[in-house]
Order: sequence, then C-alpha cells, then structure tokens
Amino acid sequence: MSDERHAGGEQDGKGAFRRDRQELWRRLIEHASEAGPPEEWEGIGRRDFMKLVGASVALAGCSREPVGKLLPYTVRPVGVTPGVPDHFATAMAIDGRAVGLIVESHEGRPTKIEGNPAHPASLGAAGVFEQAAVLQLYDPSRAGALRMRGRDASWESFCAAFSQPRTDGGEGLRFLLPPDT
Amino acid sequence: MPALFPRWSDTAFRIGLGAVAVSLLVLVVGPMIYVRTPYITGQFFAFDQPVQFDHRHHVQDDGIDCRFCHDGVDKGKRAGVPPTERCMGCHAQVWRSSVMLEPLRRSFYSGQPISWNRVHQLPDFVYFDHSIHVAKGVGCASCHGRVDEMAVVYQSAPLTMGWCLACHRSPEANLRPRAEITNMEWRQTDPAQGRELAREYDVRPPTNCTGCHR
Ligand code: HEC
Ligand code: HEC
Ligand code: HEC
Ligand code: HEC
Ligand code: HEC
Repeated sequence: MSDERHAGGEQDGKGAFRRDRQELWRRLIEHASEAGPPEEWEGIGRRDFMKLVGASVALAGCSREPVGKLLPYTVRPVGVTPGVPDHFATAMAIDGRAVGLIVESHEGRPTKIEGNPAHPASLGAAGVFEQAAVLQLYDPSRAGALRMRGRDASWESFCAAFSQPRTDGGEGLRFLLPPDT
Repeated sequence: MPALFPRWSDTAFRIGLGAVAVSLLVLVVGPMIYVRTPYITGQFFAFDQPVQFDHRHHVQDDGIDCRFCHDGVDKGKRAGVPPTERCMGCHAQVWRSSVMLEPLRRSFYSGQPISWNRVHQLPDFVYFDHSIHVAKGVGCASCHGRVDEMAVVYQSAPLTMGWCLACHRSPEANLRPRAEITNMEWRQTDPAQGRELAREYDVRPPTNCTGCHR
C-alpha cells in the first residue's frame, strides 16, 4: 500500500521518466563545464575581496533598521485576534486511515501541524507526511495562476489548447495528482 | 659623546603612546556610544503616516481607551492597530467627508489595508509579550510615554536591552493597579505602593538570557 507513494516515476512505461531526468542532468553538467566560471569573478583578486568584505562588515554596523509596516485588517474576521494563534482540530487521510491532527493558524495561515493528543491512534504524534501537509494547505510560493511554459496564462488559452481532439493519442500528457485513497 | 636623542624625545614618546592608547579606546568605546544614540535606537523619530492620525484628539478630547483600538494588548504578544472598520464605526458619522480621511475610506471600500509605518520595532531575536506586562501592572505610559500628548507617535524609550533589564531588575517603581493601566496621568504616590503591588501580583520578571532570547 504505502509503496505506491514512493514508486513515482519509474512506473510509467519502461522508465522513460528516469531516462529523461538523466538526460537533463547530463546536459546541465555539460553546459556548466563548457561555460566555466563567470567572467567578472576573475577580476577580483584576494586583496580586492578582503577590501570588499571589510567594507561591507563596517557598513553593516552603521545602518538603521529599515522601517517596518503595520498592516491591520480592513474588516477583521470574527474570532481572530492578530498575534494570537488559533488551533483547529482536523483529520487527514493517509493510507486509507484518518489521522487526527491539530493545525496552528496565524491570522488564517496554517503554520504548524501536530497530532491530536485526544486521538487514540496517534496520541498526539505526527509523522513526516502530516508535518509536510502544512505546505499543501498554504504555500506562499505556490503558483497563484495558470502557467504555460513558465509564463502566466489565461483559462482561455488553456481551453483553446485542450478543447480540440488530440491527434497524438495523449503523447507527453502527464497528470500530477496527490495520492488518493 | 653627544646624546643621540634630544631631551624632549622621552616626552614625545610618552605623548605618542598616550595618543595610541586613547585612539584605541575611542575605537572601542565610540561605536558602543554610537549604537546607543537615538539615531540608531530610533528614539524620538517621527514617521510620516498614510493617515494623519492624532492620538491627542482621540485619547484626550474623545476619551477613547487605548484598548478600544489596541485590543490585542491584554490578550497576546501584539497590541495591534485597529482594523479599518473600527475607525469607520465612528468616521462613517463624524468627519465623514474630510479629505484627511480619504485613505481610510479608500481602504474600507477597496479592502486594501492601511499601511502604517512601524514606530516601535524590536529585532526578531527578542521575545516580547504585551499581555504579561499589562497583567502584572505595567502601564502603557511606562514604556510608550505620554502618547495622549503626541501629535505623531514617536518612540519615547530607547528599547535597548539595558532599558528592559533596568526595569526587570527592579520593577516596583513602574507598577500600578490593573485598573490604571491605560491611564496616562497616574503616578505612584509612595514607593511602598510599588512593593505592595509586586507582592500582590507576584511580579518576577525574567533577567536570565533565555527569558527574552528564546
Ligand atoms: C482611535 C483609535 C486609537 C486609540 C484610542 C489609541 N490608538 Fe494608538 N494607534 C492607533 C493607530 C491607528 C496607530 C497607528 C498610526 C500611528 O502610529 O500613529 C496607533 C499607534 C500607536 C503606537 C505606535 C505603534 C507603532 O507603530 O509602534 C503606540 C505606542 C500607541 N498607538 C499607543 C497608544 C496608547 C498608549 C493609547 C491610549 C492612551 C492609544 N494608543 C490609543 C489608534 C489608536
Ligand atoms: C470613537 C470614535 C472614533 C474612532 C473609533 C476613530 N475616530 Fe477619528 N475622530 C473622531 C472624532 C470625534 C474626531 C474629531 C476630533 C476633534 O476634532 O477633536 C476624529 C478625527 C479624526 C481625524 C481628523 C484629524 C484630527 O485628528 O482631528 C483623523 C485623521 C482621524 N480621526 C482618523 C481616525 C482613524 C485612522 C481611526 C481608526 C484607527 C479613527 N479616527 C477612529 C472619532 C473617532
Ligand atoms: C514593557 C513595556 C511596554 C508596555 C507596558 C506596553 N508596550 Fe507597547 N510596545 C512595547 C514594545 C517593546 C513594542 C515593540 C514590539 C515589537 O517590535 O515586537 C511595543 C509595540 C506596541 C505597538 C505597535 C504594534 C505592536 O503590537 O507591535 C502598539 C500599538 C503598542 N505597543 C501599544 C501599547 C499599549 C496601548 C499599551 C498599554 C495597554 C502598551 N503598548 C504597553 C513595549 C511596551
Ligand atoms: C517598566 C518595566 C518593564 C519594562 C521596561 C520591560 N519589562 Fe518585561 N516584564 C516586566 C514585568 C513586571 C513582567 C512580569 C513578570 C512576571 O511574570 O511576574 C515582565 C515580564 C517579561 C517577560 C516574561 C514573559 C513570560 O511570558 O514569561 C518577558 C519575555 C519580557 N518581560 C520581555 C521584556 C522585553 C524584551 C523588554 C524590553 C523591550 C521588557 N520586557 C521591558 C516589566 C518590564
Ligand atoms: C529583558 C529582556 C532581555 C534579557 C533578559 C536579555 N536580553 Fe539581550 N536583548 C534584549 C533586547 C530588547 C535586545 C535588542 C536591543 C536593541 O535592539 O538595541 C537584546 C539584544 C541582545 C544582543 C544583540 C546585541 C545588540 O545590542 O544588538 C545580544 C548579543 C544579547 N542581547 C545577549 C543577551 C545575553 C547574553 C543575555 C543574558 C545575560 C541577554 N541578552 C538577556 C533583551 C533582553
């Protein structure tokens, strides 16, 4: 059961995913060794380097703290006191079983997941998958919009690309989905 | 044989040694004094704010309690700044068409927060909690000064480690009954009162490093 989660790429066809990855690495390394170190680096000798380090250390001590900001809510949600975290009891399905969890939330952003001490199976313990699930709930660096070849794209372009019948029989099409129960 | 050095060379040598010693001392002590100047601690520095909010009018003239606006102060770490809707609770009625309140209305209708500049800011490696201080009888005025007389809030205390510790070592002079926490004019009448309160509230502030650097 739990093997499914780790198996990942090797399962598709005859290890095509793995070969792609090796190819990618080979090309990356080749590219890096051809290019050599960036040009500018060669201009800075040991003495210049020491000078720069010295100057930056000296300057670091002289500057004022940058001005911070206080950003209050415009309309504060009921039950939220800024600065006081909330704790919510919830559950998560892992390998077909529900694990009781407590999620710490700061102004609506989940920051930490721990086991629920009242749950008979975990008694308050939480494993790596439970702990890591916090990024599934909230991750500021997660894409907020549709992207195509690394650029933001619109739903219209998505529909345009996927509404016609495919002629290649689904070649190159991949779905990334969380493990399902 | 004539002397190799003239008579005054000893004196010159001593003066030179002295100068070296003094400049070394200045090199060490100078920065120590410099980091404690208001320029670095941010004391007395008045910030421009997006809305010209004036504590004198709201606290003195209108008699609003600090905790009506800074309502996190007795609940947790942060005193907090009130949400726009709370300002609008009054300003939908009073001064409703004033140009000074234009940013307030814009924030309320657009849902974009007012971006106030922080006046008080401790470094991230310091743990500070308002609620414990308020619960043990340390008033706002002891740390923030006469906010009710400030047209623009400024930092009246240096907020250095030495300042925190000075009070933590002997807090008695800065204690007041809990009912007077937000009173800007309250003064202790005699030192016995402070000792009495310290006993009553069981005041034991941390002076070990891990109390504030967790
Ligand atoms: C009507 C609401 C209101 C009341 C009442 C009020 N304040 Fe404020 N206070 C604000 C707002 C808004 C700010 C942010 C703008 C600023 O810094 O001037 C602020 C800022 C402050 C700051 C500076 C925060 C920072 O940036 O570090 C302090 C300190 C402060 N208030 C203390 C007090 C004290 C003490 C009282 C009671 C005597 C009080 N306030 C009453 C609304 C209020
Ligand atoms: C309890 C009601 C009340 C609340 C809450 C309130 N105000 Fe006021 N405000 C007033 C009154 C009354 C005046 C007129 C004061 C005067 O002229 O004496 C005023 C005046 C002002 C002015 C005009 C300039 C001045 O100080 O005279 C500004 C700007 C202002 N308020 C901003 C705010 C902001 C920002 C908030 C929210 C943090 C806020 N107010 C919350 C009642 C309130
Ligand atoms: C023991 C000293 C102390 C007392 C007492 C105190 N404050 Fe503060 N206050 C601070 C310090 C230190 C900061 C900066 C906190 C930070 O940067 O984390 C601060 C920050 C603030 C801020 C800025 C917003 C925030 O929460 O960081 C406001 C508003 C404020 N205080 C209001 C009050 C009010 C109102 C009272 C009285 C009920 C009060 N304070 C009592 C020391 C104190
Ligand atoms: C005017 C007096 C005063 C000043 C100034 C002051 N404190 Fe305190 N502090 C107290 C008192 C009183 C207590 C309560 C001790 C107790 O729990 O009995 C306290 C408690 C604390 C605690 C313990 C909180 C806890 O949860 O155990 C911390 C941390 C703390 N102060 C940090 C600071 C820092 C950081 C500063 C400086 C920015 C500061 N204090 C400035 C009086 C002061
Ligand atoms: C009452 C709270 C408190 C206690 C106790 C405390 N500190 Fe600090 N410490 C502070 C504050 C506040 C600052 C930030 C000062 C500033 O920004 O100027 C600080 C800053 C520092 C710094 C950074 C140097 C600087 O000035 O920026 C060091 C190092 C440090 N503390 C070490 C210690 C050690 C070691 C102890 C134990 C002997 C200790 N602290 C106990 C509150 C405390």
